[in-house]
Amino acid sequence: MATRDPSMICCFRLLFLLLFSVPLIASSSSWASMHHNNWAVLVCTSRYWSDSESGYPGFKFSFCNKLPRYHIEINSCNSKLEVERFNYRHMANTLSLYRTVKRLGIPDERIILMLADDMACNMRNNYPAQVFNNENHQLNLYGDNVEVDYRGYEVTVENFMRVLTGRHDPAVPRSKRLLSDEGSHILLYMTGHGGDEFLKFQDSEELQSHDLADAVKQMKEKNRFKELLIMVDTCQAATLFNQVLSSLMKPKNIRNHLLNILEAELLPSAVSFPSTSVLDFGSSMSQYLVYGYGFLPAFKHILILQSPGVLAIGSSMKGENSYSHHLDSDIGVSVVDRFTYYTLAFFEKLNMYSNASLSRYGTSSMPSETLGRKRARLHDCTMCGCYYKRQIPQGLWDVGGHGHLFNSYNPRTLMSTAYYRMDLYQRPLPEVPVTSFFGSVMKTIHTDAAYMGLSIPPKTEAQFLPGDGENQQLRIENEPDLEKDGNKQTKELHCIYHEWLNLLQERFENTDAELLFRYGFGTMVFLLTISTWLLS
Amino acid sequence: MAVKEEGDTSQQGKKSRSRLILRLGALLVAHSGLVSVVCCAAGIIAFILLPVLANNTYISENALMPGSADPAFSSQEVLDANRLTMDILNRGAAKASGIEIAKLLREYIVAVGAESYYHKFVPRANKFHPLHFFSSTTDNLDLPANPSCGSFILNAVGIIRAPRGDGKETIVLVTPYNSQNTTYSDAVSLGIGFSIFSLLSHVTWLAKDIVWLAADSRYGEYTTVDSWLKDYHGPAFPGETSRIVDDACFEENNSDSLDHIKVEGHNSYVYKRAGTMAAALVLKVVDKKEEERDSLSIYAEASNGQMPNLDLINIAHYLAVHRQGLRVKIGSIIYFLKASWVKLLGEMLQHITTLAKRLNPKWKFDITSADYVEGTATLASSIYYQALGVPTGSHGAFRNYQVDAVTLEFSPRSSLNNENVRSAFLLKTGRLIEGVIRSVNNLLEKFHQSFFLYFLTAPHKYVSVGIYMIPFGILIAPLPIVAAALFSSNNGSSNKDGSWKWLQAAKVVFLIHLWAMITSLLPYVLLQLPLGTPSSFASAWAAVAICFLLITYLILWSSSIDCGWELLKSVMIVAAAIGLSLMSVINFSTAQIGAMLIVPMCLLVKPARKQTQGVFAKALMLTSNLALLVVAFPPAALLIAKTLFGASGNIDIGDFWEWAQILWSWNSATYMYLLWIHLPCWVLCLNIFLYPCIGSSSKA
Repeated sequence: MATRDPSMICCFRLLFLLLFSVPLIASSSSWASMHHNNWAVLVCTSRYWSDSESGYPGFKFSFCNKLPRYHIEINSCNSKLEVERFNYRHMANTLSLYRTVKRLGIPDERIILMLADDMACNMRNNYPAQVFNNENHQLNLYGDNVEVDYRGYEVTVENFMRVLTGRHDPAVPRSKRLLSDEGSHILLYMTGHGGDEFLKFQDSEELQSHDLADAVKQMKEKNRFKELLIMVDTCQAATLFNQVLSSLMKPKNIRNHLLNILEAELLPSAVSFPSTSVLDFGSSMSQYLVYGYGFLPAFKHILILQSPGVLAIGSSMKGENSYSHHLDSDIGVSVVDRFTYYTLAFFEKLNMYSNASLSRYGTSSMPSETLGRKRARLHDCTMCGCYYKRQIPQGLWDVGGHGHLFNSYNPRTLMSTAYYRMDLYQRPLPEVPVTSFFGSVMKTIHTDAAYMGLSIPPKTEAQFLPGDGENQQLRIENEPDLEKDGNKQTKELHCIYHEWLNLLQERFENTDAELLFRYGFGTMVFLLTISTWLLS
Repeated sequence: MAVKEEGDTSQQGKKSRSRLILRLGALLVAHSGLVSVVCCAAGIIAFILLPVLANNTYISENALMPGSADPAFSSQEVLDANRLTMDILNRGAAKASGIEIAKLLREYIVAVGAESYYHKFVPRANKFHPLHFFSSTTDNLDLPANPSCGSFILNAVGIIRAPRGDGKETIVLVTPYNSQNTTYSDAVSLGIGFSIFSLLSHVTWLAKDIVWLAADSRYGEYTTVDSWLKDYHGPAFPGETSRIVDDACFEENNSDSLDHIKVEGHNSYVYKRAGTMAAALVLKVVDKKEEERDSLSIYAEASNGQMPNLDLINIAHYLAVHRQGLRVKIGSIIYFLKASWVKLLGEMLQHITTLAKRLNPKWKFDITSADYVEGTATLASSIYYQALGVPTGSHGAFRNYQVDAVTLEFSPRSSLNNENVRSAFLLKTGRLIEGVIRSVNNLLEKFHQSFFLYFLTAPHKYVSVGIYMIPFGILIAPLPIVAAALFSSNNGSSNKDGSWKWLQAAKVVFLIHLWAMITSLLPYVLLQLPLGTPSSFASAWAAVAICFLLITYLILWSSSIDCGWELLKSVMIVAAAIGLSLMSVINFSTAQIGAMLIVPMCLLVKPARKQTQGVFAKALMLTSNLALLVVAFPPAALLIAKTLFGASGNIDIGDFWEWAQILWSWNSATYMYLLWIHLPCWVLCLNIFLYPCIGSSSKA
């Protein structure tokens, strides 16, 4: 019975805190802490019923080449196939994702929904207060209760960055903040008009890939997420992630690590590996590293140490457009983008308990056209080349499109190449269920009692061994703020109170209840007679 | 020392650089004859090439999205249209009163559930007033002394408020009809207007209000629409005298329908407004037989060469051609379609362009002879109507308020009396108009993306301002060069005080311009006189103008101003160049046509008595001078154009008066151009041609 002694438990818990919390925090909490909540940030950045960009008369241009600075060379939006740039579909896109994550279990208070314009109540909308993503008008995405956190002109780059980094004005209510922690899985979905390394906000601003990278890095350093899935549906979406990668990977460090490993222990062939070429790789080294880590366990080690847990998927590669799926001739605008349309189609088949995973293949698999290009570029790096030849299977996407989200994107139906990169992500994708980002499904731990202060299963004693999983379990069972010093005093008070309770409980358990009842009844009668006597 | 040297070299560099510019200028001036010949030829050739340089139109504003929504105009609306058409024809036949149709329309509008009111006004003749150019406001107090009650005009107006809109903007539909003599096509156009109105009264996508004006065009549709617009934009004061007169007169006139008015209440005359106008469509049906298909004619020219935004024409054209299968026509001058020299030119250009394409396949100048002929005819009509400065329809009234408007004139394939033909025709036109309205409804801003300055060479081809300014620029470029050449040559040869002699020439030019200005204002005085016919007005005008001119010359001679023809020509050319440049900003087409006449005349003119070597050269110079002087005289030019383009009828001097009357009554800037720039230039040229002196040196 000694283990049941509450004071002992309290002391033990404190001890545990002191011993384990420090190393836990220190040891890159990104992957050590456990996933225990889900957040979603859904952003629609474009305004107006139909896009009317202001410009000079007589110059037909797409906004892609209107943009300042260094976006001049890309002219992709002027392709032969007319891109329908009308913004109803962006709202429909965002609401599709909103509907999905809400249906799969993320509550409204953990969804930050940013809609740049209110299409549902736009007077040009044939169907007031309804938004459809399909011509058949079966699925009203606006639903009965949509909680829009940022709307209209509140959707700015500044507010977006504030939401991600958590630097708000004190007056901003909690419902408008992303209150995630180091155990959060965050889905960041963005749609709008974009181009090479930027996303346009509200016709007046743009979010550049540098900004996004900076925000993600800040989030990482502030332990605001455990894993982050960035999903972007716009023209040239893949370019938006370029800077995220290089900012998080710190190529210099990686290069040094790589050189050390190569020289010291791993590859006999590394002697022949020209170190200068590795140096020349420079910042782009990190891009190629990913293809090698499956081959070299040491690389994997580095990556896991560095890995920020960021996974990114975009609807189109550089130089490609993101096309709308179809035009609703009733409403008179195109209603949804292809990428999101097929995403929603994928999720509509699933429920909360589905085991569908992100991808069928564990490694960064890309459709074969892009693969060939990569392979050509990597040809001088022999190890990467052979890795490719070994690993990449032929048919990469699911024809039926069920079971694996990333494989459900068929470039032929998408008319663009859905591009994802998992350079910064260490878990094998086939083992990651889609619900770990799009839903809110926790790993539950069964405990005997609802409240741990009363009874703790004896097994816990054995779980204080420094195995990772057990540590996490314990941390979950404790209250999340335990590691803070200020909480220790209150904890002790709690313990004393528990002691009394438990004492009473033990008494009840040990003595005969009926005897106690008799004694009590007798005492009551005695007290009654005395009181009446005193009163008279 | 080094610093000084550097300074020296830099100074030298500067000197040499500025010298280079000067030298280039001097080179141009020295070869002014060659330059002017080359520039004039290039300018005229480039102008002729404009149909080749035309681009295809495209819809510039993304938000318009024409044709992306399915039209909701169905056979139900066609039935509505038919019902109203029949009603109008029956009732119009029964009662000849002018207000019967307006009442009927109001009943229909009220039945649909829209707001409605009557707009009434007294038409006034547009009088010449020298201070009223470029200002469309006329005095409201300028009433006719005793307006006869029969001259009132009553328009029915309906307003649909957008159910979820903010009421800040409207789209205006206008259907003109003649209440006195209602034709079948008038009734059909009213039917179309009403059927669209009734359709729009129950759609859910309206973001702008819809105003339907059924304009009684008994005294001209422009007058009606213009007066309605004036009331729409101007403040209305209830105590205004004219209104009281109107009311009294109106009710007195229609005592038989007094009870009807009582039922409706006087509210029905309260002028109601919606938001600012985003666009306006004038619908017309013309019952002239087309060969193959139902067709749509688009008229867009407003006063002084103003055009609606090209996007408005584009959506109408796109929907008509690609959705409803109509044939789209815009005006063209038949003379150019038939002229053999145009055809020959077209064939030559076709050969040249095919050759050019063989040299470089990237060049996109590819035109067939037929295309060129059609393009030229259409371009000529486009330039003609813009240069005239008179709107081609009631859409011109909207342009005065910066509202983009076009007239869409539909004509059916065969007679509308046929039931099937009519319903198919109504369905097409209704869907087209609905599509245009829905596109405009999508807009958030005014039309601004596409061009406002353009010529059309086909319904789907345009020449933008960036292209057509180049020929004009080349054409007038030699004017300053020749002026400088004349000035410098004269200055070099004369004595010291010659540098100020140009002031005397400027005085002459100024006096002649002053005379021209007085001449332009003469009609205001003449109109006060009781002269009967236009021909007497015209002859009086000419006589007085010539008298004034003689007086001016007497003044000039008496003050013994003489300066030599070269200086005079130089100053005149400068004045002409300035005038043409200014005019090209106000109304480009006028300036272009004017420049083609004036520039050669100004460059070539020389005193007839001037001695030149060779009889042949002299004869050539004389004849060309004479010919240009005749052609550039405005009345002569008008006569030549009239005979050339096959207008029948004998020529009367009164025609010029009527022609001038048209120009000033429409506030056309062409009138001002003709009298302030063209006429003085011509007079000065004549002066130089008849210059008494011999040789280049001045007599004084």
